[in-house]
Amino acid sequence: MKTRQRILHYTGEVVLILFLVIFLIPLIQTFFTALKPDIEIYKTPVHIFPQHFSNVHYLHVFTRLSKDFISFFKNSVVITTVSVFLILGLGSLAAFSLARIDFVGKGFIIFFISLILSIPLIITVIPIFMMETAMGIKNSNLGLILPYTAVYLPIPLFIIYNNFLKVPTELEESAYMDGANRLQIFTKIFLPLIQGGLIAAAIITFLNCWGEFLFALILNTKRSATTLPIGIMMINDEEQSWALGPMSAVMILSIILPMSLYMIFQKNFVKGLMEGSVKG
Amino acid sequence: MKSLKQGKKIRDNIVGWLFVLPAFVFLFSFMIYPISRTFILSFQKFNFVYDSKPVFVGLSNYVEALKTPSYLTALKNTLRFTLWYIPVIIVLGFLFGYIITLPKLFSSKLAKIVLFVPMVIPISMSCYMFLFILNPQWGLVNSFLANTIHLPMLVRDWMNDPRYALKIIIVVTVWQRIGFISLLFMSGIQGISSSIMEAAIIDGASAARRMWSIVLPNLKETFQIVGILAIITSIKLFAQVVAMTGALGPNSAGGPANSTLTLYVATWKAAFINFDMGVGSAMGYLMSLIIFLLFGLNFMLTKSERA
Repeated sequence: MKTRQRILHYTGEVVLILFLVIFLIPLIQTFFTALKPDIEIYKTPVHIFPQHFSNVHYLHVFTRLSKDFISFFKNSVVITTVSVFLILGLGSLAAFSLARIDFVGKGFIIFFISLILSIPLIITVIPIFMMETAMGIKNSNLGLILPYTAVYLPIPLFIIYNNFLKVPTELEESAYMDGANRLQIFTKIFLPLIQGGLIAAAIITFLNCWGEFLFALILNTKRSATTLPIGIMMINDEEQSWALGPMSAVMILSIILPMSLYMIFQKNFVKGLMEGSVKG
Repeated sequence: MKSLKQGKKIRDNIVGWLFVLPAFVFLFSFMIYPISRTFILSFQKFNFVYDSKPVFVGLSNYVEALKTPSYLTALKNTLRFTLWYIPVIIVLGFLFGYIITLPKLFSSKLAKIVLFVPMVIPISMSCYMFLFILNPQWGLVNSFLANTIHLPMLVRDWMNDPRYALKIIIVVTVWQRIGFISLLFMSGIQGISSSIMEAAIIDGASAARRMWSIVLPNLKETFQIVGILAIITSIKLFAQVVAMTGALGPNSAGGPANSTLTLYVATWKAAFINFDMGVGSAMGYLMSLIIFLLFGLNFMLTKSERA
């Protein structure tokens, strides 16, 4: 009986690990394609592992494609970073108020924020497109930062809100006794207590903005103004040079940042996903 | 004493709103206002390129949307996607949610890290990665079929074949969403009190019996949430289609032969390829209507259960 169980256990391990490797094949294949010389990429049968390593595709990205790639990358970094800071700032202020202060209209705001999570965003893009055309901020970083800050506010807000709910009231009351005002209680007591939640909210927001597709596709159509996801699509078939090798290299370079954030803050990320979904 | 309390109440209202105000300004300008503006636009004729001003036309945009043959194709495709996607994501999500709760399995910890990796990759990039391995000439999949397992008759030009394009988009979507859905099931399973489980084990209930009589009934709410999320994902299907089929310019998105044209893509095409903002808005609201109806239904279901 015991040996049978052990065999079952190890079979389970092997099957699962095998599955996980197959699951990651798209990523693994892209990673190694970026390191293969062209003769190995355009050859059948296709091998996953390179026989010879080559840095020619990465060099290609940083020489011939550097103008496009660097501008996509820069736009992505600026737009994502500014949006994350704006969202965390506005979101934690609002979350504090929703979690800790009684005021009229609170229910409406919470209801409205949950509603945003479910509507198809295209119904907001149409007027935003018209608005930004009139204001002349299409094809600028600001033109994406503003809508991102609104669209990606709800989930981090709920994460922070759920964290604030857990802070014991005694802390707040004793600070009151000492004569602190609400803003001081917020910055000095509440924010430092929920660092984990803030990190989770920041990572989830970062990933959302970094991979955003719809708004960038419609609002930033100029090559110099667009972000990585759209930029790569724009150029993919325009130039022969963006063939499989350089394309793979660009993709690996584009996911390094989100991937390393995930690796460093894996626990926060998973916890944040839960906290953001409970309410939403 | 009473006035002091009232003073605090007024002050709470002012401070409360002051804290919410900055977020509210953003939500108002980029959410509340646009949503209402689109609603009005859906009753107006307005081509962004030709018309200088919107003109009220009543319900004719909705009529036009529903009369467009490709819109009905889109509805059919969205429905097809939904009917495939829901069972697949529920079964796999439950399976992996269950696997990552198994404490004795070493690789379940690994699974917990690996399953979330696709969530970290921008969805459009995941699509390109799948396009690479499905490349008819140099892709891994065809090479595997032809050279490794020697079944060359299974080789296909996957994304250019109307029979497979939508199914591949389903695969990519499942790949992307499986981590989050497994997490929901995982937390549902962990929420089942261990004392019930232990009592069942002591009473000699078999693993299958425990699954059927304890685990599954306790996950009813999780199944419901996952089902709703799956429907929302299906209705909002967009980036995958454009990234995987729009390589030859925006007009090719939804191909081959309209086989991947979804409601969302049709709406986007109406508004931003034809620049017909009126019809686009109407299509957008038709799509939202489906979601609102589902929410209403879900609300009624949970309410009748609790009553």
